[in-house]
Amino acid sequence: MKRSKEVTPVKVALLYSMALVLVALAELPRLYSWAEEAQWKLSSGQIFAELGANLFKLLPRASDTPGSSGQDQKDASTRSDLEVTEVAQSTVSEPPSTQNAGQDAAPDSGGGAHTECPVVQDPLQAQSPEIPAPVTSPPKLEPHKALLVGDSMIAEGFGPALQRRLRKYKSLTVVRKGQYSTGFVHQEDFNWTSVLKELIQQDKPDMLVIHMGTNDPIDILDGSSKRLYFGTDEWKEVYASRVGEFLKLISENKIQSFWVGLPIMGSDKYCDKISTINSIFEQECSKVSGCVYFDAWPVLADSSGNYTTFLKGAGGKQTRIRAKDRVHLTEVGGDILSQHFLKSACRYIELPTDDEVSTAKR
Amino acid sequence: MSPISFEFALFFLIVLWMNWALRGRGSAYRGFLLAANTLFYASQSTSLVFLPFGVGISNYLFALLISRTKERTLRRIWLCADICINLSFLAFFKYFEFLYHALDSILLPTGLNLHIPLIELYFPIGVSFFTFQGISYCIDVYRDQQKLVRNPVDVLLFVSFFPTILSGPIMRAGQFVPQIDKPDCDSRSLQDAFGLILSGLFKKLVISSYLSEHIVRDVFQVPAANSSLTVLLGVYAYSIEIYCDFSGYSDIAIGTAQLMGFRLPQNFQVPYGVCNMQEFWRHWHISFSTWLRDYLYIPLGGNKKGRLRKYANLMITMVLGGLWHGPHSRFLLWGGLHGMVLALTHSIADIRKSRLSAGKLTKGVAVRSWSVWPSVFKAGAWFSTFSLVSFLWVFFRAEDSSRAMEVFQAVFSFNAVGAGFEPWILPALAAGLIIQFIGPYAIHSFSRVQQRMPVPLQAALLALFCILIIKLGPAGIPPFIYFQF
Repeated sequence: MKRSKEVTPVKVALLYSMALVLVALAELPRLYSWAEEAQWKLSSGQIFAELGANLFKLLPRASDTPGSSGQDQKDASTRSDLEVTEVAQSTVSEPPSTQNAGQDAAPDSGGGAHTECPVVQDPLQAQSPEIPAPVTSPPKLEPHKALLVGDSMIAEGFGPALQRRLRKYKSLTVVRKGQYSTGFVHQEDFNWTSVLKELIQQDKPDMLVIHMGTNDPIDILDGSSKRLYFGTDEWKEVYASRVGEFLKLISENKIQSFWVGLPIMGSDKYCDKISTINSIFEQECSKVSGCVYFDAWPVLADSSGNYTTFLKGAGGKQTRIRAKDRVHLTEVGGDILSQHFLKSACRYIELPTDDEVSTAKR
Repeated sequence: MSPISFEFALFFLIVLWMNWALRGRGSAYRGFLLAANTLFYASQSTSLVFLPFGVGISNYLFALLISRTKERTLRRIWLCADICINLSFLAFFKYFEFLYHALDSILLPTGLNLHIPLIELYFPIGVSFFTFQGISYCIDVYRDQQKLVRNPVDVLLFVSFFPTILSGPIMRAGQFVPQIDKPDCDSRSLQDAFGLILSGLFKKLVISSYLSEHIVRDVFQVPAANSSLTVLLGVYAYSIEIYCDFSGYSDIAIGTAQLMGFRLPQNFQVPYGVCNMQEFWRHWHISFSTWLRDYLYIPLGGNKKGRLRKYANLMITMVLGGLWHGPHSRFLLWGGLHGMVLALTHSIADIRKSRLSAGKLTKGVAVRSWSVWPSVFKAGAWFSTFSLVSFLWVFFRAEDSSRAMEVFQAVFSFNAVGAGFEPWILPALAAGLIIQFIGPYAIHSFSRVQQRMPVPLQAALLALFCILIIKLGPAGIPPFIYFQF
């Protein structure tokens, strides 16, 4: 082979091409999945529709209500296993203070007794799912170690907000594992069941909060490299089995788990897909003992049940609760959701009273 | 299409071959590059794909008007109009929500309320970068009419050049436009480009992502959950994270442009190796800090109108530089504090200079006293500067000022209880610091080694490094920090 020290543009292009081929060969499974996706996008014309839609878009389209446009829709009020019996919006007029969250501040407790649930400090008047109380009250757990797991929704927004709220309780240690761009579809990259197994062994939690699925409304390429189109019965079956496997692990370890469904999203199509995923989560959760599904959908919707980026507070001031991508939550949005979640979760777990609140605890 | 995705790698493969096939073919090349820029920007899931072109056309027209107008006042009016239009793009897309809330806060005490709903606008990614490029072009033409670009397509290419449109480096038309017809590349720069891209990938995927995921995020989201030492390390880790994230992006942008025959300005030059804040701003986000110097600080009077005016100008420049990142109190505070520190550094230097000239302080004394412990003094100055920069980053990164205070409180509570840190954090921090010193040498050495190899072996080596970096990176990669600006 002739060796030349002179680098020419053609040589550079050739070098780049060869290196790219080698990297692609080494990452063949990922490449195959990507190529399948790209081929489908090209053949279905979706890629051109996406590019075309981006050309002039200035304002996001107003979302339809999930019920009016979505598949697998149910009445929001029947989607939750939990109930918020008391949303004391009028009792607190100030927004949740981030400064107090890590301090000696009292938890949002409605009273002195253990059985009282925290009062939701939500000046933005978010809606809570309203479900009749369960006929029989399950025995309450006094959690000592809570593990929060999920995708970017746990890495930011809801995850840290819930951690900040939970760690105010003296007897509770909180561990959070939020991993960007993960879920139950691309298990070859990141397998949540294996990761959870390790986390359970390492941290030994007795309470688990799961919030994920934002990256999952895509096709699945199963082991035989067959493409399972999103939303088809085949897709639902495979996806549900993966979720089921994940939940089985939790159940086997006798951990009280809470699956927080995804909130309403800002794009119609994505909203429909998330709704499909949420119903699988809810369905699988109901099959496993010790798993409770919390419907976050209506919490961050506006008064008509539609998507909203801003929520109006008591003084008429509008506060941003969703990130610019209309998927993720801001810290305020995350805090509202975590308050509503805790309010509901206290039907199943025992949260301590004001005098048991400590500061410097993980 | 993220610059660190397989889609981009494939897109760039086509662009690279076509780039060199069409180079020198005038309009055909321009048409191709414009199409590539449009496609890339459209693929960002962004809105208003034509916005950069709107900015380009508006700047082209105003520059033309400025160059053809003889009367000074009228030229100034055209320039002001151009700047206002560019800034109104920025204000509309970036500061609308802030302005709405500001107006609402003003009206609320008077009993009036803004009854119009707060509309949500799509954020055109890179708007802060390409509008600044547009402004710089018009000001350049205003200052020197020879800098007028005759071909409007060239201005469009300058504003929308795909390697830089998302997060810079912020270019000047005078640097970029001549390279459209005459590529500025040689054998070494072409070979170095691969090293730059690898360096950028390593910084972003390995160091920045690791620190973000394993310490920074937790420390800034729930500071009190961590021990004081962890929070302190988290503060330093964010310094390294933002450097590796942003300079990593810059390396990739400069490398891809270099492969196409375009030489871009440097954006970082060992910013954490400096011993004072003045030096820091000469080495950090260079294309932005020189933009602020040339188009804001100097027009404000710079250091030519007395000391007090100089300090005020520094303060104004840094506050506006902070607000350029977004309409948030944390950026205002960060910029303001940097302004104060810079003004203080300048004032100490000025006092020292005047005392020297008055003979009250002799150079010899200072040199002798420092020469006793030169290394210790230098190390102390370096550590103080690095620590100061890192602590100021807290205001930039924290959700708001109360969270920043929580971080400081967690550091200075000297609390041993709380979450610790993984042992790999320390090597990652060290690697982030060291890479800025050895990076350029490593890139040149890599190029030299590569040049001695046959092309297939070079490709194998490149691919090997690439795969190693991918394997070392996390499963989910957080987006580039500067994409939000």
